[in-house]
Amino acid sequence: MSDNTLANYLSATRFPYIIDNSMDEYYSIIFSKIKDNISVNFGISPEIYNVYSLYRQCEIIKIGNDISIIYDRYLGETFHLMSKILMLPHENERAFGLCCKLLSEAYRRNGKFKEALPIACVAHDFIGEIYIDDNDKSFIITRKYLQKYFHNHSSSEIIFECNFADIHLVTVISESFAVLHEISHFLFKEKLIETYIKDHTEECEQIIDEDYSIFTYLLTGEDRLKSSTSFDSDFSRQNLLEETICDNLALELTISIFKNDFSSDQIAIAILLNSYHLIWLKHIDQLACNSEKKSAFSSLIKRANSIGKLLEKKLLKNEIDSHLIIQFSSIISQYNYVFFEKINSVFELHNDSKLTEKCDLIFGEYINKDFIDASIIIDSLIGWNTYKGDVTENKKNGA
Amino acid sequence: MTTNFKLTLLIENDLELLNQIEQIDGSKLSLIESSHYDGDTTLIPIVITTTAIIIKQLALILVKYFDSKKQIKIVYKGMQITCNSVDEFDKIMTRLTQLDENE
Repeated sequence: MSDNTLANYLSATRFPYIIDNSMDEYYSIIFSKIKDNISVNFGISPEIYNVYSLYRQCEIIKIGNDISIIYDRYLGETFHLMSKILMLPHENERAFGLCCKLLSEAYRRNGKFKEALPIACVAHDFIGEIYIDDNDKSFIITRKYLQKYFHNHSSSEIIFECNFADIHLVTVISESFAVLHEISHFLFKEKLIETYIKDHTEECEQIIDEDYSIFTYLLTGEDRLKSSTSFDSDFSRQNLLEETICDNLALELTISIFKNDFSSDQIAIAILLNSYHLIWLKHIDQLACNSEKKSAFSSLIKRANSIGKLLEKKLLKNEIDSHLIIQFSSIISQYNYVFFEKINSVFELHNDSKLTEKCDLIFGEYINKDFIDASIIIDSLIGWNTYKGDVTENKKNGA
Repeated sequence: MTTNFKLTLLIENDLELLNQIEQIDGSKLSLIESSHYDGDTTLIPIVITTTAIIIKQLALILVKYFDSKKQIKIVYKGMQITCNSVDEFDKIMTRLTQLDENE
Protein backbone atom coordinates (compact mmCIF):
# COMPACT_ATOMS: atom_id res chain seq x y z
CA MET A 1 0.00 0.00 0.00
CA SER A 2 1.60 3.23 -1.11
CA ASP A 3 0.40 5.48 1.70
CA ASN A 4 0.17 4.77 5.40
CA THR A 5 -3.59 4.45 5.62
CA LEU A 6 -3.49 0.83 6.69
CA ALA A 7 -0.82 1.49 9.32
CA ASN A 8 -2.81 4.44 10.66
CA TYR A 9 -5.98 2.40 10.72
CA LEU A 10 -4.30 -0.45 12.58
CA SER A 11 -2.62 1.78 15.11
CA ALA A 12 -5.98 3.42 15.88
CA THR A 13 -8.05 0.26 16.06
CA ARG A 14 -5.63 -2.42 17.25
CA PHE A 15 -4.03 -0.89 20.27
CA PRO A 16 -2.67 -2.18 22.56
CA TYR A 17 -0.96 -4.83 20.55
CA ILE A 18 2.01 -6.97 21.29
CA ILE A 19 4.48 -8.03 18.67
CA ASP A 20 5.35 -11.65 19.12
CA ASN A 21 7.24 -13.81 16.61
CA SER A 22 6.69 -17.09 18.34
CA MET A 23 3.78 -18.23 16.22
CA ASP A 24 4.71 -16.85 12.81
CA GLU A 25 5.52 -20.25 11.38
CA TYR A 26 2.22 -21.72 12.50
CA TYR A 27 0.18 -18.89 10.99
CA SER A 28 2.25 -18.94 7.85
CA ILE A 29 1.27 -22.58 7.29
CA ILE A 30 -2.41 -22.03 7.96
CA PHE A 31 -2.72 -18.83 5.95
CA SER A 32 -0.83 -20.25 2.96
CA LYS A 33 -3.42 -23.02 2.74
CA ILE A 34 -6.25 -20.47 2.84
CA LYS A 35 -4.60 -18.09 0.38
CA ASP A 36 -3.86 -20.85 -2.12
CA ASN A 37 -7.46 -21.99 -2.03
CA ILE A 38 -9.12 -18.60 -2.46
CA SER A 39 -6.63 -17.56 -5.12
CA VAL A 40 -7.54 -20.60 -7.22
CA ASN A 41 -11.29 -20.46 -6.56
CA PHE A 42 -11.97 -16.72 -6.56
CA GLY A 43 -8.93 -15.06 -8.12
CA ILE A 44 -8.16 -12.81 -5.16
CA SER A 45 -4.84 -12.65 -3.33
CA PRO A 46 -5.20 -10.58 -0.20
CA GLU A 47 -2.31 -9.80 2.11
CA ILE A 48 -2.75 -11.23 5.58
CA TYR A 49 -1.65 -9.17 8.57
CA ASN A 50 -1.27 -10.72 11.97
CA VAL A 51 -1.97 -8.58 14.99
CA TYR A 52 -2.49 -9.32 18.66
CA SER A 53 -4.80 -6.86 20.33
CA LEU A 54 -7.85 -6.33 22.49
CA TYR A 55 -9.95 -5.81 19.35
CA ARG A 56 -9.98 -9.58 18.87
CA GLN A 57 -11.59 -9.70 15.42
CA CYS A 58 -10.90 -10.98 11.96
CA GLU A 59 -11.59 -8.21 9.47
CA ILE A 60 -11.19 -7.82 5.74
CA ILE A 61 -10.61 -4.31 4.55
CA LYS A 62 -10.35 -2.72 1.15
CA ILE A 63 -8.46 0.52 0.66
CA GLY A 64 -8.59 1.57 -2.96
CA ASN A 65 -8.01 -1.68 -4.83
CA ASP A 66 -5.92 -3.29 -2.10
CA ILE A 67 -7.53 -6.08 -0.10
CA SER A 68 -6.11 -7.03 3.28
CA ILE A 69 -7.12 -9.58 5.87
CA ILE A 70 -6.36 -8.51 9.41
CA TYR A 71 -6.32 -11.46 11.72
CA ASP A 72 -6.06 -10.95 15.46
CA ARG A 73 -4.25 -13.75 17.24
CA TYR A 74 -6.06 -12.91 20.44
CA LEU A 75 -9.17 -14.35 18.79
CA GLY A 76 -7.43 -17.72 18.41
CA GLU A 77 -6.11 -17.52 21.94
CA THR A 78 -9.63 -16.85 23.23
CA PHE A 79 -11.08 -19.73 21.17
CA HIS A 80 -8.43 -22.02 22.55
CA LEU A 81 -9.00 -21.05 26.16
CA MET A 82 -12.78 -21.26 25.82
CA SER A 83 -12.58 -24.72 24.24
CA LYS A 84 -10.31 -25.87 26.99
CA ILE A 85 -12.54 -24.53 29.74
CA LEU A 86 -15.60 -26.00 28.07
CA MET A 87 -14.30 -29.43 27.24
CA LEU A 88 -12.33 -30.26 30.31
CA PRO A 89 -14.69 -30.47 33.30
CA HIS A 90 -12.01 -29.60 35.84
CA GLU A 91 -11.38 -26.35 33.96
CA ASN A 92 -14.99 -25.13 34.14
CA GLU A 93 -14.43 -23.05 37.23
CA ARG A 94 -12.18 -20.72 35.26
CA ALA A 95 -15.15 -19.56 33.19
CA PHE A 96 -16.28 -16.89 35.64
CA GLY A 97 -12.89 -15.11 35.59
CA LEU A 98 -12.75 -15.32 31.80
CA CYS A 99 -16.26 -13.87 31.53
CA CYS A 100 -15.21 -10.93 33.74
CA LYS A 101 -12.12 -10.33 31.65
CA LEU A 102 -13.93 -10.48 28.32
CA LEU A 103 -16.80 -8.24 29.44
CA SER A 104 -14.44 -5.60 30.85
CA GLU A 105 -12.45 -5.70 27.60
CA ALA A 106 -15.63 -5.14 25.62
CA TYR A 107 -16.54 -2.12 27.76
CA ARG A 108 -13.02 -0.79 27.35
CA ARG A 109 -13.19 -1.05 23.56
CA ASN A 110 -16.45 0.89 23.65
CA GLY A 111 -14.98 3.61 25.84
CA LYS A 112 -17.29 2.69 28.75
CA PHE A 113 -14.69 2.85 31.48
CA LYS A 114 -17.07 3.38 34.36
CA GLU A 115 -18.92 0.18 33.47
CA ALA A 116 -15.64 -1.63 32.84
CA LEU A 117 -14.11 -0.77 36.21
CA PRO A 118 -15.95 -3.05 38.69
CA ILE A 119 -15.86 -5.98 36.27
CA ALA A 120 -12.15 -5.39 35.59
CA CYS A 121 -11.47 -5.30 39.34
CA VAL A 122 -13.12 -8.69 39.75
CA ALA A 123 -11.29 -9.98 36.64
CA HIS A 124 -8.03 -8.86 38.22
CA ASP A 125 -8.64 -11.18 41.17
CA PHE A 126 -9.09 -14.07 38.77
CA ILE A 127 -6.20 -13.45 36.34
CA GLY A 128 -4.07 -16.08 38.06
CA GLU A 129 -6.85 -18.59 37.55
CA ILE A 130 -7.68 -17.65 33.96
CA TYR A 131 -4.19 -18.35 32.70
CA ILE A 132 -2.65 -21.15 34.64
CA ASP A 133 0.16 -22.19 32.31
CA ASP A 134 1.97 -21.20 29.10
CA ASN A 135 -0.36 -23.43 27.19
CA ASP A 136 -3.23 -21.04 27.96
CA LYS A 137 -1.56 -17.72 27.28
CA SER A 138 0.21 -18.34 24.02
CA PHE A 139 -0.33 -22.05 23.47
CA ILE A 140 3.13 -22.27 21.95
CA ILE A 141 3.45 -25.87 23.03
CA THR A 142 0.36 -26.92 21.18
CA ARG A 143 1.25 -24.81 18.14
CA LYS A 144 4.60 -26.56 17.92
CA TYR A 145 2.84 -29.87 18.28
CA LEU A 146 0.63 -28.94 15.36
CA GLN A 147 3.51 -27.69 13.24
CA LYS A 148 5.24 -31.01 13.79
CA TYR A 149 2.26 -32.78 12.34
CA PHE A 150 2.01 -30.55 9.32
CA HIS A 151 5.73 -30.82 8.62
CA ASN A 152 6.65 -34.35 9.51
CA HIS A 153 3.62 -36.41 8.71
CA SER A 154 1.90 -37.14 5.47
CA SER A 155 -1.79 -36.40 5.39
CA SER A 156 -2.75 -40.02 5.81
CA GLU A 157 -0.79 -40.22 9.04
CA ILE A 158 -2.69 -37.41 10.69
CA ILE A 159 -5.46 -39.41 12.17
CA PHE A 160 -6.87 -38.43 15.51
CA GLU A 161 -9.76 -39.96 17.27
CA CYS A 162 -12.58 -37.54 17.61
CA ASN A 163 -12.22 -36.92 21.30
CA PHE A 164 -11.89 -33.76 23.32
CA ALA A 165 -8.21 -34.11 24.08
CA ASP A 166 -7.03 -32.51 20.85
CA ILE A 167 -8.32 -29.04 21.55
CA HIS A 168 -5.52 -27.44 19.61
CA LEU A 169 -6.83 -29.08 16.44
CA VAL A 170 -10.20 -27.56 17.17
CA THR A 171 -8.44 -24.21 17.48
CA VAL A 172 -6.71 -24.42 14.10
CA ILE A 173 -9.96 -25.25 12.32
CA SER A 174 -11.79 -22.57 14.30
CA GLU A 175 -9.31 -19.89 13.37
CA SER A 176 -9.41 -20.92 9.71
CA PHE A 177 -13.20 -20.97 9.66
CA ALA A 178 -13.30 -17.48 11.18
CA VAL A 179 -11.03 -16.16 8.41
CA LEU A 180 -12.96 -17.99 5.70
CA HIS A 181 -16.28 -16.67 7.03
CA GLU A 182 -15.02 -13.09 6.71
CA ILE A 183 -13.64 -13.83 3.24
CA SER A 184 -17.10 -15.13 2.31
CA HIS A 185 -18.67 -11.84 3.43
CA PHE A 186 -16.17 -9.97 1.31
CA LEU A 187 -16.94 -12.11 -1.74
CA PHE A 188 -20.66 -11.64 -1.08
CA LYS A 189 -20.44 -7.85 -0.85
CA GLU A 190 -18.12 -7.56 -3.86
CA LYS A 191 -20.56 -9.66 -5.93
CA LEU A 192 -17.87 -12.23 -6.68
CA ILE A 193 -20.05 -15.25 -5.81
CA GLU A 194 -23.30 -14.36 -7.55
CA THR A 195 -23.75 -17.85 -9.00
CA TYR A 196 -23.03 -19.46 -5.65
CA ILE A 197 -25.56 -17.19 -3.97
CA LYS A 198 -28.16 -17.98 -6.62
CA ASP A 199 -27.57 -21.72 -6.28
CA HIS A 200 -27.72 -21.74 -2.47
CA THR A 201 -30.33 -19.13 -1.59
CA GLU A 202 -33.23 -21.57 -1.62
CA GLU A 203 -31.37 -24.08 0.54
CA CYS A 204 -30.38 -21.37 3.02
CA GLU A 205 -33.91 -19.92 3.08
CA GLN A 206 -35.15 -23.41 4.02
CA ILE A 207 -32.61 -23.62 6.80
CA ILE A 208 -33.84 -20.32 8.21
CA ASP A 209 -37.49 -21.39 7.97
CA GLU A 210 -37.11 -24.90 9.34
CA ASP A 211 -37.93 -25.83 12.89
CA TYR A 212 -35.32 -25.06 15.43
CA SER A 213 -32.55 -27.57 15.55
CA ILE A 214 -31.94 -29.71 18.57
CA PHE A 215 -28.75 -27.73 19.17
CA THR A 216 -30.54 -24.44 19.50
CA TYR A 217 -32.94 -25.92 21.99
CA LEU A 218 -30.11 -27.26 24.10
CA LEU A 219 -28.29 -23.96 24.02
CA THR A 220 -31.16 -21.70 24.74
CA GLY A 221 -33.77 -23.59 26.72
CA GLU A 222 -37.44 -23.56 25.90
CA ASP A 223 -38.31 -20.16 27.36
CA ARG A 224 -35.68 -18.29 25.45
CA LEU A 225 -36.63 -20.19 22.32
CA LYS A 226 -40.23 -19.04 22.58
CA SER A 227 -39.17 -15.46 23.03
CA SER A 228 -37.19 -15.43 19.83
CA THR A 229 -39.74 -16.13 17.16
CA SER A 230 -39.69 -12.76 15.46
CA PHE A 231 -36.85 -10.86 13.86
CA ASP A 232 -35.28 -7.90 15.62
CA SER A 233 -35.23 -4.65 13.78
CA ASP A 234 -31.43 -4.67 13.83
CA PHE A 235 -31.11 -8.17 12.47
CA SER A 236 -33.28 -8.68 9.46
CA ARG A 237 -34.06 -11.82 7.59
CA GLN A 238 -31.74 -10.55 4.86
CA ASN A 239 -28.88 -10.28 7.38
CA LEU A 240 -29.48 -13.84 8.49
CA LEU A 241 -29.63 -15.07 4.89
CA GLU A 242 -26.24 -13.48 4.16
CA GLU A 243 -24.79 -14.97 7.36
CA THR A 244 -26.13 -18.42 6.46
CA ILE A 245 -24.82 -18.29 2.89
CA CYS A 246 -21.41 -17.15 4.18
CA ASP A 247 -21.39 -19.91 6.82
CA ASN A 248 -22.28 -22.39 4.09
CA LEU A 249 -19.44 -21.26 1.84
CA ALA A 250 -16.94 -21.03 4.72
CA LEU A 251 -17.91 -24.54 5.80
CA GLU A 252 -17.37 -25.94 2.30
CA LEU A 253 -14.02 -24.15 1.99
CA THR A 254 -12.86 -25.35 5.42
CA ILE A 255 -13.71 -28.93 4.52
CA SER A 256 -11.96 -28.67 1.16
CA ILE A 257 -8.81 -27.12 2.68
CA PHE A 258 -8.48 -29.50 5.62
CA LYS A 259 -10.05 -32.70 4.31
CA ASN A 260 -6.63 -34.35 4.06
CA ASP A 261 -5.51 -33.19 7.48
CA PHE A 262 -8.53 -33.73 9.69
CA SER A 263 -11.50 -36.04 9.78
CA SER A 264 -14.97 -34.72 9.02
CA ASP A 265 -15.90 -35.37 12.66
CA GLN A 266 -13.12 -33.12 13.86
CA ILE A 267 -14.12 -30.42 11.40
CA ALA A 268 -17.77 -30.65 12.45
CA ILE A 269 -17.02 -30.32 16.15
CA ALA A 270 -14.53 -27.52 15.58
CA ILE A 271 -16.94 -25.49 13.46
CA LEU A 272 -19.81 -26.00 15.85
CA LEU A 273 -17.62 -24.83 18.70
CA ASN A 274 -16.22 -21.95 16.68
CA SER A 275 -19.71 -20.78 15.82
CA TYR A 276 -20.85 -20.85 19.42
CA HIS A 277 -17.66 -19.15 20.58
CA LEU A 278 -18.26 -16.37 18.06
CA ILE A 279 -21.91 -16.05 19.02
CA TRP A 280 -21.04 -15.94 22.70
CA LEU A 281 -18.31 -13.32 22.15
CA LYS A 282 -20.80 -11.31 20.11
CA HIS A 283 -23.28 -11.62 22.96
CA ILE A 284 -20.70 -10.12 25.33
CA ASP A 285 -19.97 -7.28 22.88
CA GLN A 286 -23.67 -6.53 22.61
CA LEU A 287 -24.06 -6.53 26.38
CA ALA A 288 -21.25 -3.99 26.56
CA CYS A 289 -22.59 -1.90 23.67
CA ASN A 290 -26.23 -1.44 24.47
CA SER A 291 -27.27 -3.54 27.45
CA GLU A 292 -30.28 -4.70 25.43
CA LYS A 293 -29.77 -8.24 26.57
CA LYS A 294 -32.97 -9.77 25.31
CA SER A 295 -32.95 -8.17 21.88
CA ALA A 296 -29.36 -9.09 21.20
CA PHE A 297 -29.83 -12.62 22.41
CA SER A 298 -32.79 -13.16 20.14
CA SER A 299 -30.66 -12.44 17.05
CA LEU A 300 -27.93 -14.72 18.28
CA ILE A 301 -30.35 -17.60 18.80
CA LYS A 302 -31.35 -17.35 15.13
CA ARG A 303 -27.71 -17.45 14.14
CA ALA A 304 -27.08 -20.46 16.36
CA ASN A 305 -30.05 -22.21 14.81
CA SER A 306 -28.94 -21.69 11.21
CA ILE A 307 -25.46 -22.99 11.99
CA GLY A 308 -26.88 -26.02 13.75
CA LYS A 309 -29.08 -26.81 10.75
CA LEU A 310 -26.18 -26.31 8.33
CA LEU A 311 -24.00 -28.75 10.21
CA GLU A 312 -26.83 -31.24 10.38
CA LYS A 313 -27.28 -31.05 6.62
CA LYS A 314 -23.65 -30.90 5.54
CA LEU A 315 -21.85 -33.09 7.99
CA LEU A 316 -24.28 -35.34 9.77
CA LYS A 317 -26.27 -36.31 6.68
CA ASN A 318 -28.64 -39.13 7.62
CA GLU A 319 -26.70 -40.52 10.53
CA ILE A 320 -29.24 -39.54 13.11
CA ASP A 321 -27.80 -41.87 15.70
CA SER A 322 -24.29 -40.72 14.97
CA HIS A 323 -21.94 -40.45 17.91
CA LEU A 324 -21.47 -36.88 16.74
CA ILE A 325 -25.00 -36.01 17.80
CA ILE A 326 -24.15 -37.12 21.30
CA GLN A 327 -20.92 -35.15 21.29
CA PHE A 328 -22.63 -32.06 19.87
CA SER A 329 -25.38 -32.27 22.46
CA SER A 330 -22.86 -32.68 25.21
CA ILE A 331 -20.88 -29.64 24.06
CA ILE A 332 -23.94 -27.44 23.81
CA SER A 333 -25.50 -28.33 27.11
CA GLN A 334 -22.11 -27.71 28.70
CA TYR A 335 -21.96 -24.39 26.85
CA ASN A 336 -25.18 -23.21 28.37
CA TYR A 337 -24.01 -24.11 31.85
CA VAL A 338 -20.40 -22.98 31.59
CA PHE A 339 -20.66 -19.73 29.65
CA PHE A 340 -24.17 -18.34 29.23
CA GLU A 341 -25.12 -18.70 32.87
CA LYS A 342 -21.77 -17.31 34.01
CA ILE A 343 -21.95 -14.19 31.88
CA ASN A 344 -25.36 -13.40 33.34
CA SER A 345 -23.83 -13.65 36.84
CA VAL A 346 -21.01 -11.35 35.78
CA PHE A 347 -23.46 -8.81 34.36
CA GLU A 348 -25.24 -8.81 37.72
CA LEU A 349 -22.04 -7.47 39.33
CA HIS A 350 -23.23 -4.03 38.22
CA ASN A 351 -25.91 -4.33 40.87
CA ASP A 352 -23.36 -4.99 43.60
CA SER A 353 -23.31 -1.58 45.28
CA LYS A 354 -20.48 -2.50 47.66
CA LEU A 355 -18.25 -3.46 44.76
CA THR A 356 -18.99 -0.36 42.71
CA GLU A 357 -18.55 1.95 45.72
CA LYS A 358 -15.21 0.39 46.55
CA CYS A 359 -14.00 0.65 42.95
CA ASP A 360 -15.14 4.27 42.75
CA LEU A 361 -13.31 5.07 45.96
CA ILE A 362 -10.01 3.65 44.72
CA PHE A 363 -10.09 4.47 41.01
CA GLY A 364 -13.03 6.82 40.48
CA GLU A 365 -10.96 9.99 40.35
CA TYR A 366 -8.80 8.67 37.52
CA ILE A 367 -11.54 6.87 35.65
CA ASN A 368 -13.80 9.92 35.50
CA LYS A 369 -11.08 12.47 34.80
CA ASP A 370 -9.59 11.38 31.53
CA PHE A 371 -10.13 8.55 29.05
CA ILE A 372 -6.39 7.94 28.69
CA ASP A 373 -5.90 7.46 32.46
CA ALA A 374 -9.01 5.29 32.49
CA SER A 375 -7.76 3.04 29.71
CA ILE A 376 -4.38 2.58 31.42
CA ILE A 377 -6.08 1.52 34.66
CA ILE A 378 -8.42 -0.91 32.91
CA ASP A 379 -5.57 -2.40 30.81
CA SER A 380 -3.53 -2.88 33.92
CA LEU A 381 -6.37 -4.56 35.82
CA ILE A 382 -7.10 -7.03 33.04
CA GLY A 383 -3.44 -7.81 32.51
CA TRP A 384 -2.61 -6.23 29.17
CA ASN A 385 0.94 -5.17 28.43
CA THR A 386 1.35 -2.72 25.62
CA TYR A 387 3.95 -2.45 22.94
CA LYS A 388 4.42 0.37 20.51
CA GLY A 389 5.41 -0.39 16.97
CA ASP A 390 4.26 -0.45 13.39
CA VAL A 391 2.50 -3.71 12.93
CA THR A 392 2.62 -3.44 9.15
CA GLU A 393 6.40 -3.12 9.02
CA ASN A 394 7.36 -6.67 9.65
CA LYS A 395 4.31 -8.58 10.68
CA LYS A 396 2.89 -9.29 7.29
CA ASN A 397 2.39 -12.97 7.56
CA GLY A 398 1.11 -14.63 4.45
CA ALA A 399 2.76 -17.31 2.43
CA MET B 1 -0.33 21.18 16.57
CA THR B 2 2.50 21.55 14.13
CA THR B 3 2.52 18.22 12.37
CA ASN B 4 -0.12 16.26 10.55
CA PHE B 5 -2.38 14.38 12.87
CA LYS B 6 -3.94 11.08 11.84
CA LEU B 7 -7.47 10.58 13.00
CA THR B 8 -9.66 7.52 12.58
CA LEU B 9 -13.38 8.17 12.75
CA LEU B 10 -16.40 5.93 12.64
CA ILE B 11 -19.24 7.72 10.92
CA GLU B 12 -22.43 6.82 9.17
CA ASN B 13 -22.07 5.78 5.57
CA ASP B 14 -23.41 9.13 4.43
CA LEU B 15 -22.17 10.14 0.99
CA GLU B 16 -23.00 13.82 1.47
CA LEU B 17 -21.05 13.99 4.72
CA LEU B 18 -18.08 12.16 3.23
CA ASN B 19 -18.04 14.56 0.27
CA GLN B 20 -18.08 17.55 2.60
CA ILE B 21 -15.17 16.17 4.61
CA GLU B 22 -13.25 15.36 1.45
CA GLN B 23 -13.66 18.93 0.21
CA ILE B 24 -11.90 20.44 3.24
CA ASP B 25 -8.82 22.06 1.83
CA GLY B 26 -5.69 20.07 2.70
CA SER B 27 -7.43 17.11 4.25
CA LYS B 28 -6.55 13.67 3.09
CA LEU B 29 -9.35 11.22 3.57
CA SER B 30 -9.20 7.47 3.09
CA LEU B 31 -12.37 5.49 3.10
CA ILE B 32 -12.01 1.97 4.42
CA GLU B 33 -14.38 -0.70 3.21
CA SER B 34 -14.58 -3.18 6.03
CA SER B 35 -16.15 -6.61 6.15
CA HIS B 36 -16.68 -6.18 9.84
CA TYR B 37 -16.59 -3.34 12.23
CA ASP B 38 -18.19 -4.52 15.44
CA GLY B 39 -20.87 -5.97 13.18
CA ASP B 40 -22.27 -2.48 12.71
CA THR B 41 -22.92 -2.02 9.03
CA THR B 42 -24.19 1.56 9.27
CA LEU B 43 -20.91 2.93 10.62
CA ILE B 44 -17.86 2.99 8.39
CA PRO B 45 -14.28 3.76 9.33
CA ILE B 46 -12.38 6.61 7.70
CA VAL B 47 -8.79 7.62 8.27
CA ILE B 48 -8.23 11.34 7.91
CA THR B 49 -5.00 13.29 7.99
CA THR B 50 -5.70 16.58 9.74
CA THR B 51 -4.20 19.72 11.16
CA ALA B 52 -5.61 22.10 13.78
CA ILE B 53 -7.33 24.12 11.04
CA ILE B 54 -8.82 21.05 9.43
CA ILE B 55 -10.20 19.89 12.78
CA LYS B 56 -11.97 23.23 13.21
CA GLN B 57 -13.50 22.90 9.73
CA LEU B 58 -14.44 19.34 10.48
CA ALA B 59 -16.25 20.48 13.64
CA LEU B 60 -18.23 23.00 11.57
CA ILE B 61 -19.35 20.26 9.20
CA LEU B 62 -20.28 17.98 12.09
CA VAL B 63 -22.57 20.59 13.74
CA LYS B 64 -25.43 19.66 11.37
CA TYR B 65 -24.65 16.02 11.80
CA PHE B 66 -24.92 16.23 15.59
CA ASP B 67 -28.05 18.41 15.29
CA SER B 68 -29.81 15.53 13.61
CA LYS B 69 -29.06 13.37 16.67
CA LYS B 70 -26.35 11.37 14.94
CA GLN B 71 -23.10 10.47 16.63
CA ILE B 72 -19.57 9.77 15.53
CA LYS B 73 -16.95 7.65 17.19
CA ILE B 74 -13.31 8.63 17.34
CA VAL B 75 -11.15 5.54 17.34
CA TYR B 76 -7.97 6.01 19.30
CA LYS B 77 -5.65 3.27 20.51
CA GLY B 78 -8.31 0.61 20.46
CA MET B 79 -10.97 2.75 22.14
CA GLN B 80 -14.12 4.02 20.52
CA ILE B 81 -14.91 7.38 22.04
CA THR B 82 -18.44 8.50 21.29
CA CYS B 83 -19.18 12.15 20.47
CA ASN B 84 -22.74 13.43 20.52
CA SER B 85 -21.97 17.13 20.20
CA VAL B 86 -19.40 19.54 18.83
CA ASP B 87 -18.37 20.39 22.39
CA GLU B 88 -17.54 16.76 23.07
CA PHE B 89 -15.72 16.55 19.74
CA ASP B 90 -13.65 19.66 20.57
CA LYS B 91 -12.81 18.40 24.05
CA ILE B 92 -11.61 15.02 22.83
CA MET B 93 -9.67 16.51 19.92
CA THR B 94 -7.90 18.94 22.24
CA ARG B 95 -6.83 16.04 24.44
CA LEU B 96 -5.70 13.93 21.48
CA THR B 97 -3.74 16.87 20.11
CA GLN B 98 -1.92 17.24 23.43
CA LEU B 99 -1.05 13.55 23.39
CA ASP B 100 0.17 13.76 19.81
CA GLU B 101 2.44 16.68 20.68
CA ASN B 102 3.87 14.82 23.67
CA GLU B 103 4.65 11.79 21.55
